Amino acid sequence: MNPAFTLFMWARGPAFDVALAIFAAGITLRLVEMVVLGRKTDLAPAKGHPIRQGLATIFTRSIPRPGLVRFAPGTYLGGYVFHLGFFAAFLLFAPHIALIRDALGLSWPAANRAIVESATALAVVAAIILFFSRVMDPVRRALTGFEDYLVLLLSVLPLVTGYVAANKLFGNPEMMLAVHVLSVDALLIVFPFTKLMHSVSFVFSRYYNGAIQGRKGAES
Amino acid sequence: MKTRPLLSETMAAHGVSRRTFMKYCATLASVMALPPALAPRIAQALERARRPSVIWLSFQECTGCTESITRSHAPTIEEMIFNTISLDYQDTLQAAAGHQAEAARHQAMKENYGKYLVVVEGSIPVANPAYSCFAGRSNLDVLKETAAGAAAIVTVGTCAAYGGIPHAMPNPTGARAVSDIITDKPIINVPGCPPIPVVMTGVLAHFLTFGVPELDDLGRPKAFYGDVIHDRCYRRPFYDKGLFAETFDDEGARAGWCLYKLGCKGPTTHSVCATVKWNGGVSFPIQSGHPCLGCTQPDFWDGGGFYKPLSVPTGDYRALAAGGVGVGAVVGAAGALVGRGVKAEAARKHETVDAHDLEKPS
Amino acid sequence: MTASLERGLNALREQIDAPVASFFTSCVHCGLCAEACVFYRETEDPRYIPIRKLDPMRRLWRREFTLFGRIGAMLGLVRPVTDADLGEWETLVYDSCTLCGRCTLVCPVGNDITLMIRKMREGMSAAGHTPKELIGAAVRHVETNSLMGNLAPALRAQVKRSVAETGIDIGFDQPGVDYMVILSAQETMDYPEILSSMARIFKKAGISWTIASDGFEATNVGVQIGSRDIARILVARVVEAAERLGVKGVVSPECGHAYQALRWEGPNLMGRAFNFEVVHIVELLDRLRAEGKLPTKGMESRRVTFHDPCQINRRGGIDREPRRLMALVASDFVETDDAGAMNWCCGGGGGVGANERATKLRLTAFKRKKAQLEKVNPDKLITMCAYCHHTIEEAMEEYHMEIEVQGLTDFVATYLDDEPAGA
Repeated sequence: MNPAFTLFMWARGPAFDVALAIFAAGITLRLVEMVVLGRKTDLAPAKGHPIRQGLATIFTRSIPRPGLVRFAPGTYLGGYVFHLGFFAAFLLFAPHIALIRDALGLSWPAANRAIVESATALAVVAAIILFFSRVMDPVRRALTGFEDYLVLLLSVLPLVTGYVAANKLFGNPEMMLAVHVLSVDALLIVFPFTKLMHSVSFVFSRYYNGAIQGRKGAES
Repeated sequence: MKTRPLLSETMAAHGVSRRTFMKYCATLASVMALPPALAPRIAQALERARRPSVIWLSFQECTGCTESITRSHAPTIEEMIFNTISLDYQDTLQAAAGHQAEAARHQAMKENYGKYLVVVEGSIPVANPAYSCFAGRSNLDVLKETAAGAAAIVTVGTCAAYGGIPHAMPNPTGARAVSDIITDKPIINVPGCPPIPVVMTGVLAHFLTFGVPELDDLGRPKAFYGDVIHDRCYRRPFYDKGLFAETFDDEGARAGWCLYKLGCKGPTTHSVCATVKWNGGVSFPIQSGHPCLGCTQPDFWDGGGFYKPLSVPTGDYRALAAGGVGVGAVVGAAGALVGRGVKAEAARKHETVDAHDLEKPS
Repeated sequence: MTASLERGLNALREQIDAPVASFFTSCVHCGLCAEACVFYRETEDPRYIPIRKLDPMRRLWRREFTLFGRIGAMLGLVRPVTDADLGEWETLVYDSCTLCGRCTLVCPVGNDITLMIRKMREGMSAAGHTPKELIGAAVRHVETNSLMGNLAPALRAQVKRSVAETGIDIGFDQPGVDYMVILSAQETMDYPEILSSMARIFKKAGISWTIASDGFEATNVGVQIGSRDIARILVARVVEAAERLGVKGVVSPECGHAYQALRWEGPNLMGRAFNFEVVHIVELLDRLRAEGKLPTKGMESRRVTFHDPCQINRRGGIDREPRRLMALVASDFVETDDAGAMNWCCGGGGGVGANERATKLRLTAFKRKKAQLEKVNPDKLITMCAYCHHTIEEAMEEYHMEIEVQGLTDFVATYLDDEPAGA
């Protein structure tokens, strides 16, 4: 009857359910698989505070070391703007807050549309910068594979499709919403299988780094 | 074929002034998104048009659409139009009943074959036609029979246009839209549950003056269904500012903030509700504090719930995710145990490295 | 048993644990580790991207420690690690990494790349892909008492000379003293002045100390090669000597990896906590300073700067101690750019300095140090690692730089006020 509606309902119905189940199962699997490997107790007497510094490093590592930004401005700037923009667009837009409220019972005030849309646009621009740095820069190029491009594309699609749907730039609004939700479904599905895992596992790696350095009383 | 009175004549008989009529034509031009210059042409066409024979078929419906039209407060031009078209068959309004009524329909069809307009209200049960019959005949038969000689079909209400509520899951009667059954006639969909009266009359006026209007991909006149409610809603500024009613009785609700989070379907619903409004322009659901249900959209009844925001998934995703976490934990633990086994095996196989062992034998 | 791929992979499997898994899981291929790496910075060769140096280990982890990787391996998506891979990686793991740890501090997801290189070397060494000079050093150290061969006669001669010079006796194998001092071979051979400096400082502070004749060598080539088994043999000599003599503590000398080997790896290698304290000489000096047991007289008035050895500051946590000591004896002390935890490596640590084929790369890497020094233009450079000292002197020779280099302990001792009170 209405393919756009049918697709939209499928995207936010069964497709989302399956995607979320894969997302939840995959992340749990990988985290458990990682943590249960365990680590030997360090027998060297601590000079600093391993646990405290491990926890602190989860946050402090978000701040770049001075002097490094100028060597890879695209990666640093693109990286920061992309992450901040992505999460601003994700977490400050009312429809997303409604989803989170439905899922977790948590809610917070939404931001002005101008902020959300600027964040989206900035994040997309940042993603383009990151893309070009992967293509042009020798270091990034040496490290980049299919997965990196796939993840970059899948992370930017929800932003672009969301922007198009919210502004009705083209297409049937229901169809664009369907495409937007499908892009999110795709992102959820690939999440556990790719480096997108870093958005969860970084807590562990930063903690371990901080704890190892912290035991020695060294910076992290 | 007997001569029907011209609209102008009928208007004169009902005491409607020329000025009022011109005003109506201007209004019609505006709601149909036509340039104001076309108002005189509408007037001319309406004045000259001979009222066509209209056969109004009521199938699986609640008569709400008929109610909507008749609730247009008197005396209005809408009412005039319906008084002046030759409504030869309308089982709610007509005086005749039983065989007489059916005879009227057959006569109208015969007399106006190829020229009459069929208005359909309600969906057609196909799984078991016996769910809805009149005069001993199934809706399906009557529709096919009546449509055969029609110039065009106007579906009034979402049931006729898209199946509507009878078509809602699990659709026990196998309800179908007119367009599922009739494929060889122009069909103008005027969905809504019910449609706005002036939209119905506007579509009829357009049909009489300019023929079949420009339709969207769901068969709706673009003039009335071109924009989504959200884009014309007076509460839209609150959406853009991020101000929402969270419940029906909070500050936001009292302050008239956006109803998105209460499940408003305005962003995906095509209708002129926010501009033309209802009851002679008094209000529309969102203005009255209730989210839009999306009633002009196909399958609006199956959109996951009237009070579920558009962005909220419709399935039982929480249980699935919780299940996923459980499965992931078990499989992950199993995988990790295998990994630990690999490590333990490696430790068992460990042969002490001696400084003299470091050189690889060549 | 001889080195083989299977032994190497087996050693790598033993090394993979939750932190390693989290590091590989978190890597986003951003390449910022490269920007921090002295070898990449000075060559701009993408081969030297730190995380890339771990690729064989990453593949092994994926194939054998992740479910998806195991499935991928069955489908042929994750290549197995071959002996040729390890051979190719040998120069990356040993020649272009000093385990300096800068990458570990800049990684945005917190990967301890340095730790993983250390772990990877376990596999490389068991697989027989170790630079030959390091193998030679390991054989010498295991067979004798130091990586330079039998250093006992040389040490005795240096002690004799010091005693003659200071008039302060240094006893061998004295039980029950406060500290047992160990020395790096570099100090014994090139910078023996440390003995006199320590003798004077400890005498002034009232500290009794000794040297164990069967456990005086502080360096541990096992840590650099990446072999716990060899590292354990070597560290055990020190630990057992200290335990036999019943000392309160062992003073780790001015040597970066020696501090790592005894202080941080030691108890884990031995599988037990020590019943004596391991203290770095600079930590000890700072402690004496705080207790007022390190009186000084006069100050160096020429411009002095400081080089932080990677293993002692960034990887060892000794950052403020040397600065407090510098403040004591240097009136014109300047810090270089990036001083402290982000200091640039001299280029010779982690076994790179001993590795002949890495010489050119090491000297290229030194350009960063050179630029750092030229910017502050000091008359004198103080450090607290004899091997940094040695590497820097050698590289400055190459680049015709005229900056005096001195060990911190020796520098402090220059201004020690050890005239008898009232004199």
